[in-house]
Amino acid sequence: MGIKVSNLVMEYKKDVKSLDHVNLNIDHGIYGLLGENGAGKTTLMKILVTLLTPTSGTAEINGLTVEPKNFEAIKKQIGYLPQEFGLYPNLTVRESLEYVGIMSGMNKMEYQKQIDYYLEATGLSEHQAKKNRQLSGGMKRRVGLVQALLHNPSILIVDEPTTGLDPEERIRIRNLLVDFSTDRTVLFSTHVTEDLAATCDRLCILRKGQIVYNGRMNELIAMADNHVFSRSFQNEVDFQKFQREYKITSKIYEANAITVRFVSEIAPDFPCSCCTPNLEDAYIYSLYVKK
Amino acid sequence: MKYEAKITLPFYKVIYSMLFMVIIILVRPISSYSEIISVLESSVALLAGVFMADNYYMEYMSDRISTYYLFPFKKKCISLLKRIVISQVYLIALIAVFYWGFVLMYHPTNYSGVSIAMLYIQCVCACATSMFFMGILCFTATNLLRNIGIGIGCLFLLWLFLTSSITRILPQLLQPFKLSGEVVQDGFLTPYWPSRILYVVVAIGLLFLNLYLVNKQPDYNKKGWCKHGNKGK
Repeated sequence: MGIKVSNLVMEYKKDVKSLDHVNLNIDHGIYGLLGENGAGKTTLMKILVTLLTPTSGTAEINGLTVEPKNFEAIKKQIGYLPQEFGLYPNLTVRESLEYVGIMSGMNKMEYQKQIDYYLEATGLSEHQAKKNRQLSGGMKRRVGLVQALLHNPSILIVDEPTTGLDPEERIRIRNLLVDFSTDRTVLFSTHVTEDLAATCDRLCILRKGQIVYNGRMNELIAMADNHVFSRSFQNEVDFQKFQREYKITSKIYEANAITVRFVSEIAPDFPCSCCTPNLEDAYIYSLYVKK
Repeated sequence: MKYEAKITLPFYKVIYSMLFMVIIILVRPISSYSEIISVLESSVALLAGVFMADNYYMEYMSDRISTYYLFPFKKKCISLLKRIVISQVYLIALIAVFYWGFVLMYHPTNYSGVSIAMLYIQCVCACATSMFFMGILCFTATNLLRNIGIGIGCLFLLWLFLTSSITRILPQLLQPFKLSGEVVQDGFLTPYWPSRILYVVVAIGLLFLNLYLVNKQPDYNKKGWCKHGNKGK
């Protein structure tokens, strides 16, 4: 059943819409939510996990409408890892998770078994006796993932889980999300395209509360075919002029030149070479260039 | 229960509460056992308010509210009640021990015809009721206003009023620290129990209000939500 969102609007004050008639259908597997800061990704997630009530529209979790009478039933079916996530500093990793197990209403044998399993899966077994305040950022994020999964939810909602992490931890978290998506729905938001490219095959791009793209990643990238180019500049003046006219996705300063990769709706009339687009190019293209 | 104890009684709280008691003992000399209750009760009521203010609000301050809110309502209620009970038991144990700090420091005499044990029990019971009321009041104010500074500030203003001579304009029943017999009779000051019982009942009523607040979505006041690290996404 998964997640279904129909015409969702979230308006904080007059004419300021955090979500503007969003429609989404997410079933099994891992699904990415991409957008700039302030696009509405976190607002959408908070509505789905019952933290916020939308201004209008509906959301459904496994067939249950997200409304107050269903909140308790919905909370049992979702696991949520927010972007800003704190742990009790005085408790150890194991104690925190046992506390989460008790608060989730699980019986002792059940949560102990789950804790053992997920600590092993996330590489935290050897750290379980450490106090939470001794953990690194990446370890805290892994503990956060475990607490979200402890009661075995059918839907996992994760908000920017790799923000601020080193490359190794980012890869570890991404791989964990893929592993955990085999038997549930995972909705994963980020503003880093690499994270999505490495984990999802379906995504939604949000911009200022509206959906710009919703579908398969390879189709998004295909949209940017023949719209991504590369060019070199010998001097800074030409480059500065060029920068004002085109959306640049990468810029490399070499010995005697500046090589740029840029996105354009139509093929430019100056010498340049066409490139194979990646997800980042496709994202910029769909957001800023595509008519 | 052990997890709630570790959450509710972090090291810094234990230290500052003990230091507070030491300071009260040092700055408020007494000469008789009967005076201890008048010195201790109002002071520990203030301590209780500050101590218990963040029993639930700590979830906001430490970015745990998003996940704490998702726990079942019944479990959250039990969790909060446990935290309140743990705080109260700790504070009662604190004053039960530090009461004797006054005795050790000032070697008071017992002018009243009542035994020291009875004076002690009366003092601890009176302090327990006042701490319960002020603790729950500050806890509620903080949760309602979503601001611990304002919650404690309101408590402090109320405490100033209730411990000043202005409070005499109120009926006896509404004076929470009332000791019967303003004129000391044989050196024996007794707590005015009707007012204390009334305030305990009020505190129980406020507890139910908190159970309602705990079930409210944490985002209902966007300004408060933004304040704690969740900036307009």
